[in-house]
Amino acid sequence: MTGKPTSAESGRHSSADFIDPLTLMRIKSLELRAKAVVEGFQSGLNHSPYHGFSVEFTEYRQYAPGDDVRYLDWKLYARSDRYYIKRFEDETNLRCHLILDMSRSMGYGSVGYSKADYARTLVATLSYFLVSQRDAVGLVTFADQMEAFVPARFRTGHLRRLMVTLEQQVAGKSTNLDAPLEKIAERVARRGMLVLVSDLLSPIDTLESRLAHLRARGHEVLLFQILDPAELNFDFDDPALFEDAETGREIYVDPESARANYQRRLEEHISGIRSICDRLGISYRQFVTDTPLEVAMGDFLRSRQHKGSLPARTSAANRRAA
Amino acid sequence: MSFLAPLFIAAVAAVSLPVLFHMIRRTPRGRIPFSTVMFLDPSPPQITRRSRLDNWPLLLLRALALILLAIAFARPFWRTTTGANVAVNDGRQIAILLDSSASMRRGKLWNDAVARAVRIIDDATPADRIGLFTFDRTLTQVVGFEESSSLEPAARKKLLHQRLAATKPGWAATDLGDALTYVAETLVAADAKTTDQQSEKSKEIILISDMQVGSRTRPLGRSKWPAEVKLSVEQVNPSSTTNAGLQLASRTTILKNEQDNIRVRVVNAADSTKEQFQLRWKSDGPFFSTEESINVYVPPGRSRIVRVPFDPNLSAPARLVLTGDDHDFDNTIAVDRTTVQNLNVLYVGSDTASDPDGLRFYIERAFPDDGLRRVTVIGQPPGAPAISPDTRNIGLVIVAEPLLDKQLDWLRRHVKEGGTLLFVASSADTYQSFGQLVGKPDLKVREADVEGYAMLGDIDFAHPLFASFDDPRFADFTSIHFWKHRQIDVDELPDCRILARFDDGTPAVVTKQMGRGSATLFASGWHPADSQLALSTKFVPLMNGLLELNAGHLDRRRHYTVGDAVPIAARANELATPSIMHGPESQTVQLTSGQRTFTGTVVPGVYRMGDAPDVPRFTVGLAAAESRTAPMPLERLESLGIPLKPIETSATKVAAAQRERQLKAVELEGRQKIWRWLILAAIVALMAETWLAGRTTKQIAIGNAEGAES
Repeated sequence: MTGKPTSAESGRHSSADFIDPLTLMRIKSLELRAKAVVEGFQSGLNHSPYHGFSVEFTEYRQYAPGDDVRYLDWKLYARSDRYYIKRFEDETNLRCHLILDMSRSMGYGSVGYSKADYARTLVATLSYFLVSQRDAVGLVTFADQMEAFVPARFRTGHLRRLMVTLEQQVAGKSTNLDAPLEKIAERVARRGMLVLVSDLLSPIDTLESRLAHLRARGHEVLLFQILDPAELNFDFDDPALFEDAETGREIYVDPESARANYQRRLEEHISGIRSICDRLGISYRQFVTDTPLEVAMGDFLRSRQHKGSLPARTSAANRRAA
Repeated sequence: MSFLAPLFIAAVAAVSLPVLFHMIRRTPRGRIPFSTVMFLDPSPPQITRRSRLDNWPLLLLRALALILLAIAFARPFWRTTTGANVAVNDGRQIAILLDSSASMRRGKLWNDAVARAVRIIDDATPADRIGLFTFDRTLTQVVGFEESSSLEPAARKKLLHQRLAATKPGWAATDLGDALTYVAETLVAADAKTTDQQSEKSKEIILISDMQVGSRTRPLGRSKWPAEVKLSVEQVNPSSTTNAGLQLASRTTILKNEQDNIRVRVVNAADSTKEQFQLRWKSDGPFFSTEESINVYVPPGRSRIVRVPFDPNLSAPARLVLTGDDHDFDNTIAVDRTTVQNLNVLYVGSDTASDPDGLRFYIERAFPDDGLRRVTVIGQPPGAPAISPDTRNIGLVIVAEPLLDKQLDWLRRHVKEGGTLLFVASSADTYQSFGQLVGKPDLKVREADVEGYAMLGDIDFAHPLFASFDDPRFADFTSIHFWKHRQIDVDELPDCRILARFDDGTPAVVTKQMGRGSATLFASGWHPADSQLALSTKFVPLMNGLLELNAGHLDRRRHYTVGDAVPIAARANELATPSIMHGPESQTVQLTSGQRTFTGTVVPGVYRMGDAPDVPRFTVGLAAAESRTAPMPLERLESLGIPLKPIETSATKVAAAQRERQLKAVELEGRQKIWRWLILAAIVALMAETWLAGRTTKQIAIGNAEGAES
């Protein structure tokens, strides 16, 4: 297995291979956007350092001499008169719930589109990919409370339902992780994957306990923190009244004098989140909204592999890679 | 450089305010929505690197424009001495006119007035010419302009102070009109004498007075006030205004006897606050009468006549004193008593007193009895060997018949001793006696040939006999017709004075001084056969004039006002020896031989001529108008055509100088109009600022675009 490129590495390599997020955001349809990312990721797979991944993106693949004939799908041969190797149906299919933060803080953006647009696109992309993998995908949106809950299903029309839910505007204001995570713990009984997509710019006092509860129920939790470049760098020039998107509070800030302290405190906050994730065995990834979504896809897949969520798949992938 | 409106210069300091605010606090450029401010702390205002000024030239241009505008609004100008075609003012000509009348004796009025005069003298500049005058009934020059201007300023002030300190208020009335008129003429005349033709000294009269309404101002309306002379009034006011004056209600203060009453007038000033007063007799010394005082009620602004009985316990002369008001300068009148003067007129003639065709008939009626003088006409029959020894107190001898030698001798002695002799005859024989008397026994007299009638002409009004007729109203004698008259050759009468001529040139009235007396000749009789003289209005005054020519007899008036000239003798040389006039307050004045009038009536009281106890006396009192002490409105002077000017004190002079300076500044600034150039410069600066700001904005925009592309 080759070294796994980090998001930064993929960023360095993405300028020619990956879709510019700003250009991607110009696609109005979320489904098309997600499809573009997924197909773009797939088309770049042969040239990407993702070689060796035992990733199968199609339900069947054409028989090639040397394949194990035990996996030929004879029914499909009967229908099509062509030999295809059948995907191994694993009775441990992934059940993944994507949890999307739709609070007002996610509405901030300095790169031409907001974090919410980026997060929606990311969740739509993940949904598209998982559905294409015949995984059950569910969706939870929240702001200061759970707004929408789409159970994880794999059926016809489910993807459409997910996209529609994603495109709905949320009326909430502030970010409150407690209530949504508690409800998820109640409503998601079967173990699966939970992907939390949020900027996490809110107090994290109770975050550890909520995430620990989810881990205790056996869920695999991934935490994607979406941040805007301006939130990381605070690269403002002139003093201004900064208005909090969620509380409406305004304070006069001179960026020249406040930048260092802001970055320190933000880093402390992020470090706190990382520490929580490390303690609870949660995979944490930070995505800046100017990062191509293919990189996020890659991180997601890597996370799945590392966590052994597809053990069968992982062994077959290893034989093929060999 | 000076400024008309220097307060606008403060706007220059305001230019620094925006810079200061910019350095201290940078105004937020807007509101930035952010996801969360949980990691941000409010920034205090401070000068940071980013707070520094980025574009100095732009700031300087804007500041320059503001500064130029501020200076332009301040209206700057250069103080120069060129272009001011104004004559140099080298001082003023000031006449200080100080009221020294009797009313200035009230309270501290005089001290206050002197203090003001001192202040005016001290406030004067070295270029000022000052004259000092005092006035009451007459004007007195204390320091003239020529004397004042001949001294150095310090010596001038010292002299003025010294002379001022020596002045005192008198007792006379206030003749304000004459004083102002004369001083104004003196000011104009003094300026005409100056050798400096380029200077234009302003002329001022500073009048220091109580401005009582009793001041005489009538002369001011008779002539035009010189326009270049300004009048300033320093009015002094007493602390208390109640003043009641005591005046005579008749022309004399003579009591005929101790049972007599005297009528007085009590006048209460218009600004008085009291109404009740008292009258009380006082001896000539310090003692008041023991009789009760008489209460008098007089409302303010009114007067009242009171008949006051004489205190029988006192002897004349005495004084009547008014009490109850605040000022006593006019509260006393002197009262004297004298007997009736008896005089005889000796008539030497044969006609009787009841013969209307004779001369005596009219003489009997020519001397009325006025209560102070009783004249008796005593007839001397002609042919009597001597004048009757009963003829004493002969004031006049009238000869109408030829005289015997013994009579002539007596008469000659009588005249030389001071008697008055009148020769009048209807025939030429009577004139022979006159010729004998005057030493011309062969005097040729003939009857004149009168066609119709003759008239008097060429009258010598300088002689005391005709002096009372020296008035256009009384000087016409042409209405008296003379049917007959004697013609005397003038050359026949040496050393005689012709007092009147007929219209044919022949003497009508001739007089000759003989010793202390005089002999007068009428060339015509006054009876109807000769003329209309006895029937004319001039006959009685003529006869009484002859009677009063007698030496030693005073005028029948016994009361005068302070400053009056009192007649004390009728003819020259009638005082054999000089006499002394005794006045009040132990005043004594030596009278000179030949002195006819006494002008030393400066103090009210009783005056007597001589030391004998029975010498004639007269009283002097204050003028009635002097008791009218309420102040007159100054508009009265303006209504008489006198422009009033406010008094210049040091403060007002400073204010006037500032006003003049301000006017000059406005004039200079109006010519220079520097503000126009400043506005133009400000416009240029603003145009440059606009260009530079536009250029800077473009550069920033270009830079931003390049940064975005990179």
